[in-house]
Amino acid sequence: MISAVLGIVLAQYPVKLSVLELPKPEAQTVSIHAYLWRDKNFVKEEQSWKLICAITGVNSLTYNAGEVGFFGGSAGIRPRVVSCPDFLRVEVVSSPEKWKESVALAASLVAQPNWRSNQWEEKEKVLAGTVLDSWSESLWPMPAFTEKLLEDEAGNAHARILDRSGVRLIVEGPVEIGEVRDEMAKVARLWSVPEFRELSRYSEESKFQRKQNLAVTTFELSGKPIRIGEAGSAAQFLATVALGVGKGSTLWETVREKEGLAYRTEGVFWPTRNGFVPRLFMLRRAEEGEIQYAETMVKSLEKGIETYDTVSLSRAKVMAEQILLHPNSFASVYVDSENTLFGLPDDDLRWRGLLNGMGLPSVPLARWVEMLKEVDEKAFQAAAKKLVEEASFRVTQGIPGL
Amino acid sequence: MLATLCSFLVLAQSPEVISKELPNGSKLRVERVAGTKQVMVALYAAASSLPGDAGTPGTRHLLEHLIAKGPDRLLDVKLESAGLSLTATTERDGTNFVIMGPSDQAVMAVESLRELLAPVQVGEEELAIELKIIDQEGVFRNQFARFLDSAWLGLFDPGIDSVYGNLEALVQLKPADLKTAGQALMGSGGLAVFVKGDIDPGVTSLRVEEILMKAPKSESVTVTRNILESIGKKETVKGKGSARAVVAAGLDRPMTLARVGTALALMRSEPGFQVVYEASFDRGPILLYGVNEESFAAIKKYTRDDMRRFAPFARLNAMSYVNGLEREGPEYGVLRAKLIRQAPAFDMKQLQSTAAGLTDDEIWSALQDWQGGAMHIGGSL
Repeated sequence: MISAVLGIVLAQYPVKLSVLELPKPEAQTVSIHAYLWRDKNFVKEEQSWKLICAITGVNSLTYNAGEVGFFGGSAGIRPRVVSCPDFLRVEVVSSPEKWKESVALAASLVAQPNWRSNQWEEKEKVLAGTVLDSWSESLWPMPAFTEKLLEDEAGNAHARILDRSGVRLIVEGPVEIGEVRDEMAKVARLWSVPEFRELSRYSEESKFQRKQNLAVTTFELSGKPIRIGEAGSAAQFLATVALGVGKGSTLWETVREKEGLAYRTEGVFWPTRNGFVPRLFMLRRAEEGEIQYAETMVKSLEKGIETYDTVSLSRAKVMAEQILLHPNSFASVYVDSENTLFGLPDDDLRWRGLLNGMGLPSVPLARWVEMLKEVDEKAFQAAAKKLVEEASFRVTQGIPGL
Repeated sequence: MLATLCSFLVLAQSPEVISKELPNGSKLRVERVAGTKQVMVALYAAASSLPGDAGTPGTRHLLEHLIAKGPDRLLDVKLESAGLSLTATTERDGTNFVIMGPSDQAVMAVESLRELLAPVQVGEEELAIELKIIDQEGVFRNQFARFLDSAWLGLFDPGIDSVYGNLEALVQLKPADLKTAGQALMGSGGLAVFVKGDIDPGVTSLRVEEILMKAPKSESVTVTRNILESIGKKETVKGKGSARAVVAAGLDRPMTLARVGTALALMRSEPGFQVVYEASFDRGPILLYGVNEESFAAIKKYTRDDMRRFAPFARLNAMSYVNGLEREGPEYGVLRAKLIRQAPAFDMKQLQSTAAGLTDDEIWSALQDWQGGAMHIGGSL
């Protein structure tokens, strides 16, 4: 028995932690965001990932559910958990006096889920019975959940991802550079990645679905990820706004207003580990022979780009500023699968944390807006043209007459 | 002139907030929030101005689509070029338009109200395209839409089957019908405007007043929804799943938040549920939709003894729901504009404390409603 326990302990690895500290001496609170990024999205792990996202924040090996709840009571705000296909994030807001406990809690919730008492079986049932919504399905389809997960399947996936990526902590508030790093080195020195089975190197990576169990068919044109701050990224961002964001966008004006082809057209920025992916959507009633509308959509965009001028660029710039910095009806820069930038207090931190996970310099939002203002008409037009030319087109067919 | 000014009913006035009812029955509230550099302008046209959609279900919905484009169809482009955005929605309570954006464009945002109040002029060809768009919109009616419509009919007899409308009837409408209906919908007696932002309340209020006074004159109509006998009521609709519906007396009542919070807690604890509620200070249904009948069987297990664990979760869900309402997007604007007509004396800030203060008894009572006392709506395919 002793040798068996010893064997497991010896095979365990410490949890990798990376820390980005953003000192803000004047802040009244400390905001802590703890990330778990997936290295790859494997078909075999899709169900597990949804479940991991659903149970994260319930408890951990260090903090039971009561302690997590108590923390919410004392700090005023319970830890908030949000997710996307490529990452999950625990957000904790703390008083400056309690930042050490709060950082430890946030990291522990991500690194140490307690599979014995987080009621994952019940959560799995809830996920399996989710009432599907066509927009959420277009953004991030719910795995089928046709078969129940095996006992340790989700825990295994969590351990594998944790081993690959570790935990990324982004902390903003009245803290000094190095303080959080030092604190976490102490707190997490005994944390380890549990034993896990490696996935076969032939494992299949997730692909988009071709069918959905809805009455809606989703037409999606998605561009190359926008690597914020890199050459050409500002023009690419503005081109996406011009093409798909708002009622003055090309997509809305042509596909909806001129052709009457669809009620819902949207342009969004979707966070992935490679950058923000520009995604342009047309959602319409599923019908026979609908594939032709894919061509209509692309041709409408191409034709619209030909008319781009100073006025289009100017609209794109003011719209971009609004969707990046303020509450807006066409908020479209997603910071997780359910929330967009909306002028909220921690939006800048969410944005910079995402950039950090994407392997990019964490350019503040306000600076990014300034960079957008420098884009000229020629670069804007060229970016729009290139975006459509190089984009991939997907059609996820619904069921006619459902 | 002085007499006119004196006849304005000034409900509350301070340098930061101006609330008024104008002589033609329209109402407004302007709030300054210094330093935000943002502005929100919300226009609410009460459904009671066009009772029963003037005989053609969906008329208000179609008008909403047409009005939002502006008389020259360039309203969106003009607004967006200035960083402003417009959203429009139609609910049981009313038809709503919300403009948001930078406060240095506040004049343009407010002046847009003038365009929204202008007579609806539409050609046959344009009307045909708009009906195509509305037909496409139909696919987004959720699987619980028929259940919700049934709840409205069963609990309140609201005059029309659905807000979305009947396309076969809508195609019969002529441009002249829509112009008449548009004038009625924008009748002064059912209008409310809410403005909030980094603005001068006095100047903004004067501008809004001037615009509202030009709205088509109509009587101020206050309609209270009659509640029909619902206990033990059973209905069947064409659709998959089943649902239960309860009467909510208005957002300002604790039991409304108890029922919403409890329903949301059930949705997050048990598989296959969805909660639907049109936030309102008037009476309306809260719907708990289940993908199948077994969904409801699962909630029978909760007893009074479970309240120790369940009640805090329901309370937390009620608080999250209120947080969502207070998030300053278009829905918030709609709710604040509605509030002006429906419950002007109610302070929205009370919602959070009401949610936090829900008692275990209130939550248990709400849970019992969902377990059995509500209207039952079955689905048949």
